[in-house]
Amino acid sequence: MSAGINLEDWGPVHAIPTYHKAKAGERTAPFGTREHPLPLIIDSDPGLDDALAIGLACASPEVRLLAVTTVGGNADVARCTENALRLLHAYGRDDVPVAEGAAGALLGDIVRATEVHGVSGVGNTQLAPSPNVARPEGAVALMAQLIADSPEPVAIAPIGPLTNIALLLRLYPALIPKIAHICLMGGSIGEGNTTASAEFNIVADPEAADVVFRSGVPVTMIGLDVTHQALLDRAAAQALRDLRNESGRIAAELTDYALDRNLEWSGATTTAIHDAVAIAHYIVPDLVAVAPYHVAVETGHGPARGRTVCDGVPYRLRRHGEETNADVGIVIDRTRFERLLLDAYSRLP
Amino acid sequence: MTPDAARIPVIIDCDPGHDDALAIALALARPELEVLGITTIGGNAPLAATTRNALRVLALLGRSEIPVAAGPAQPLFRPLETAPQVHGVSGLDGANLPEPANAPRPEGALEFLRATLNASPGPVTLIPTGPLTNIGLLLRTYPEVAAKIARISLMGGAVRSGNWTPAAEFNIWVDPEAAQIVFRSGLPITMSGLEVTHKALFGWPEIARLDALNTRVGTVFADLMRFFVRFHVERYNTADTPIHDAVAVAAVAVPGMVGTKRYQVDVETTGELTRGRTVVDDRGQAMTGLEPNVDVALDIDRAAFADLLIGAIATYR
Repeated sequence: MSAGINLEDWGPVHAIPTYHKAKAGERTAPFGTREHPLPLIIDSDPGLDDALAIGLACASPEVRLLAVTTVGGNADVARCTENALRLLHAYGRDDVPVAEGAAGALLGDIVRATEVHGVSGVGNTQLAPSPNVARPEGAVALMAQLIADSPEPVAIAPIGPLTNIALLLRLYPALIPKIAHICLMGGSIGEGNTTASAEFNIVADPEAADVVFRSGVPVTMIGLDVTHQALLDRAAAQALRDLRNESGRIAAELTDYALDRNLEWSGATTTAIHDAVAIAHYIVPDLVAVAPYHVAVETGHGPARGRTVCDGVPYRLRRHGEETNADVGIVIDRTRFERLLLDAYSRLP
Repeated sequence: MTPDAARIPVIIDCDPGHDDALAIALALARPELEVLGITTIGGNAPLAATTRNALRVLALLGRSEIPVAAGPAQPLFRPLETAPQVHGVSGLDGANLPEPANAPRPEGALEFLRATLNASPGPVTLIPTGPLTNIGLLLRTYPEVAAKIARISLMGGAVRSGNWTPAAEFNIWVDPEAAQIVFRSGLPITMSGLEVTHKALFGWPEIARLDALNTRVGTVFADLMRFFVRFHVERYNTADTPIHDAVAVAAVAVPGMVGTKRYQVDVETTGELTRGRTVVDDRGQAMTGLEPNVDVALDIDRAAFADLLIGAIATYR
């Protein structure tokens, strides 16, 4: 080895640098305050990290949670719907309606991530049944009704495959001006996690993601570049358990389940709470740093299918006649993120 | 000087190109390497220009006995696109190089590669620093010569983001099908992609050291680098410029110069947005389920690399 190189200390594989990056910019996503909470719909496939994302929203007075809609992704959609109902019940939010959406992608095979989240979607965690049932009209119709009825534009946080959101945008184009923002968890500038090119939520329905990024609705992409900095470890799981409430028990168990898998697969002692970052961005104005990118989705059928192709280099954008169309998350303060989650769960039942 | 018997026989397949010129100068200066020839391909500039540039670089270095053979003018299936904004119209803008002192070999790159590999007593290391058209053609046309290829140490690709497009590095993007043939060949491959070449940087201090050599060759390379750096200053707001192609030579000449990890690598040929992306399973094989097939260079010491290059240029008058 030449002087100055020590590959052993070079860091984890996800520390491989990304070059030709965009510079950080001002966020365009709205955020809520206690005085003026942001009306929010979460579209989700719970899901270990989805469960923590929903808990964060339920406990945060900065957002007014209008609904949780479900989509097949991490687990089968019926399981995701049941999980959403039971999680809201545990979190003391039976007032939040749940509606079930698409079972799987617009095109092609239905993709699942049960090896990560368990067949149930929530690992081995037992959740008490909810007195509620899912709304009969389904996810897309419920979203459309809530957006139409809302006196102000509604923010959406899609934290699963984007099938429902694409259907909403295509079926109700007149409502697009009333969508304040879409802050989605999915994609990445650099690495993949499900294929060597792509992140799970996008590769699970690339065509739907393509619709969303082309829609003209302001989008923030919370991808792996930032979510792999939003980490919890065993100590954080224990801190959740030490809250001594039912919600904290659930969050601790889900985190431990994810930690067990990561340890087994890669020796890692942390787990990324991907989906909660998208919610946190609507709650805390300066937690997530973003950079403006042009984001397009590869919908071809080669090995790069589902890749979010992110261009933030000004001269290249000019060459292709492209404008930036999304904020992309690049940095998060891990310590503040962990504290945000713990504080939120301390307020839950 | 290492005895010839112990030298590593290499063929450089390139599209000069500023960083290709440095790669050639480095290879010819290193006692560990025996350069059997140079084959050319269109890439940074059209084929006629890159072939002429290879001959001019050899004339500058006083090594016109090295055979040069030109490949096809086009990638396997696609129209050629070049990078005049990076390398100038000539492919080597910015310096006064001598006229060629020799002509390219009449048989062309494909036959030259076949004959040279067959004639070599031992297996030969190929160092492609341009689009992989010649190597792809060779492996498809004369598959039996694969047995005479010790390793392919190529400059191209990226684990994360590209340079020509957000998804792809230029060399792979120009001829993705040829690159796919190479990556799927089963031959030992070292890939020096953007992750390592962006650590192999030349800036104003390194250019000043070339000027300080006070030799004709030193001045020509300083002039070439001034042109190359200026592009990076304008486009990327930094004078620190990757000397991409020389990394592929350094990886062969100096064991341990680059740090590598073994990954599964394939090439995207069908996607519109991701054309020419090297799809790298950087979790070993966890995501593709395929055996790792490439030593991907990820790390290099900038100072050691600069010393190597400037030391090589210093061996010329």
